[in-house]
Amino acid sequence: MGSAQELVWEWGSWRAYAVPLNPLSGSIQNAHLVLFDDVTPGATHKPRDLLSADPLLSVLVAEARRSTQEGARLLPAPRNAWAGLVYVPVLHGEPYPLAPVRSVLCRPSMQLVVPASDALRLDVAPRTLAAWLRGGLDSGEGLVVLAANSERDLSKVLSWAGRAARSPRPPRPQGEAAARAKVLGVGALAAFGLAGAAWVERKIAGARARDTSGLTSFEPPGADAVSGLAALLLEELAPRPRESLVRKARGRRGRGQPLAVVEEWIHAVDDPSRELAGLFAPFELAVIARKRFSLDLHDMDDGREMATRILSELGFGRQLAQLGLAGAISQVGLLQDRLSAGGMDPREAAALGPTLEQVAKCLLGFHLRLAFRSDRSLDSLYKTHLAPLATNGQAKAPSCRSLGELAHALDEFHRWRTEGPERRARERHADIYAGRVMDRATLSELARMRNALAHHREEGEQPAQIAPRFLSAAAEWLSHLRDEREGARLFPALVSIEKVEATHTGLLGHGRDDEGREETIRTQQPLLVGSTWYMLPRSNPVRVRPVLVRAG
Amino acid sequence: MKNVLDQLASTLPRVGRRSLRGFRQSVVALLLNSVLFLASLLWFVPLLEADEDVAVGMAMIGFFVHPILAVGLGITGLLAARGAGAGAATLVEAFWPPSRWVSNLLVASLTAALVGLGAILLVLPGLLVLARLSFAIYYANNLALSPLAAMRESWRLTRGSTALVVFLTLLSLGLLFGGLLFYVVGVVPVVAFLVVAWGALFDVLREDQAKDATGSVRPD
Repeated sequence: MGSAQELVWEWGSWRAYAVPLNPLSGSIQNAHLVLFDDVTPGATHKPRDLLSADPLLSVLVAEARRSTQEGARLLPAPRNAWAGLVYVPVLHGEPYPLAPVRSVLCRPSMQLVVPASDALRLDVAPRTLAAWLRGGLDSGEGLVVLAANSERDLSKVLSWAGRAARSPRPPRPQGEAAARAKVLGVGALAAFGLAGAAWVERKIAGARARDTSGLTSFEPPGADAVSGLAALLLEELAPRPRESLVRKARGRRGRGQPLAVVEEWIHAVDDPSRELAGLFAPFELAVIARKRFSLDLHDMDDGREMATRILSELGFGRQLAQLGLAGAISQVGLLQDRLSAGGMDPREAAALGPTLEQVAKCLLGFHLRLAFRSDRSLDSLYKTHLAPLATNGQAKAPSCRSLGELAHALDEFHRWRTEGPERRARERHADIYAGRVMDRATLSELARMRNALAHHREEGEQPAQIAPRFLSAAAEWLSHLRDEREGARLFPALVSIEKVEATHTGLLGHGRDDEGREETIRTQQPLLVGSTWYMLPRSNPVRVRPVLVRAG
Repeated sequence: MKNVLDQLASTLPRVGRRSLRGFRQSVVALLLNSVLFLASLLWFVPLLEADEDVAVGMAMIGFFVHPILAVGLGITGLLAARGAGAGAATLVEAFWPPSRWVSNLLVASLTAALVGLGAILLVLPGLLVLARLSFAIYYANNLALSPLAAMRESWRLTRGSTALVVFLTLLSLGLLFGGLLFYVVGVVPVVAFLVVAWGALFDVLREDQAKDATGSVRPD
């Protein structure tokens, strides 16, 4: 599929191909950027069938598929405007629900735009793309591309698009400074009065507080399962239950951005499905499922079961997606570039948080599996740290593990390396990693800075000061995981197996690592096409019996 | 009459299915909360023989606590009907925060006053008011409406189903009486089941109301 177009952009498993709208006379203005992923081994994507639901998309896909390699190569990069396609993956043999995407994006009146100069920086993280989407919705002109190659990515982008569609920020008036000062003054006075009234109402009259500030400004961005649920609650609940929930989430502190405090509340509750089922009647859950996820739950009336299905769509309880280090490092680089160029709000640097969490989870998971060589170990360390990362039957998502908790988990793991009771497992780990220590202090510091960015308060350090330090600390921390100077990499390469041959000496697997390098592996391990493995390579070009740990 | 029968045929299976499932899933919490609630009624027994001052004091305390426990039991039933796993703590959730307590007290007091007023006139108006305001506690707690708005919404919800709700109220009273006849303790499982059933009825009526308003609860 991808061979017919020109690859112009790549980030992790995301790919962008430029294709002409009309292959015979593809001018700059008519160029299209098609984003999709076709690198998954054994992928069963059927975009033609999938996209046939929308005539416009069908035409564009057909054009893209017909374009020749030569035609694509002749295509100059679009500079002034670009258009694109929505590509969604196949989930369990069924096309991923397209309706929400289409309803948000593909109506002619809601075409989206991002500047081509930004679009073609060729180094764009999905989250940044999502931010562009929001900007595109606000600007209301031109076209935009939305792409997702995983449920998680899709829910992220949908979440952003949904928020932007529901709460478009009005264009800022071009007022004079004096007028603005006046407005600010009156606003401050009014806010003071309202705050006083709210305090009296809460503390004395016991009436409901109406502090809904920030209900429409969902910043800083967060698009993991927990923030997706928080956004869903804030958007779908009626105003009064929403106020009630926010007040409950704020607790005694009585302050905090609604999205942030509701996220914290979700982290604290034992079972989000129970809370979701309690907040909505079953028929309301069915409407939400239909509207947001194209799920038809109208035949069901068990609120808990429906809530579980919705949470599953949001990413709760899903198997931890394995992450290669290269993707995380490139995301940091991109954010650093954008921050130094003034192209983003410093608070958006907190968007790196979920990536760091995922890296830390994968890191911990790899080392525990390496040591214990089993997914069914009964030892306490495994049960405490690895099982919550690895199982998909948990009420909460793996993503519910915060960065701070993960830093603590790594601390515990480090203590186990010297004092743990499982001597054989410790020795197995020490055979490879003796003397190598993870930098937990920096991770703790990252957690602190990420919280400072995400839950910014006026009296503290300003985001503009924290963000550069946060990003450089993240880059440093990620780099030390890849460092091979003092021994094996702490975070190994993630290899995806694309082809396996049986030879008289064992299996010969061909795959690609997370940095795009082709790998050939000789091993006795049961490699399967499509499986992913963490690999600690030995110093030979054809990896003969490398250390392989199954990812996921 | 035919209309009532149609409503019964449409509503009862849904309510019954959800009630049975909710009762089965949360049976321990429901029975425990029912026992606690019914035991709280014992607070009023000594009033019959107490001094006047003591009786007034005890009645006042009972007035501030007992209706809220009733609301807590109702919320337990609603959560159980939704499969949201009600717990024993749900019984006292209606007490906190204080604003919620006040709101629940107002709902319960106003409802009781109106029911009492209706009952003074004749029994039937009291029954009618009781039936039509019986969902106010759900609105006040689950949808966080103010007491008056909750009562108004409850009244509105039962507008087209008055006969049905009155019938179910009578049925519930009959079941309670039957439970009492069963060595008194029989009332515990009856109360536990009835709170789930009324919670389920609340959701079913709201679902029907939404269908009537939009023609379908489906967004598209």
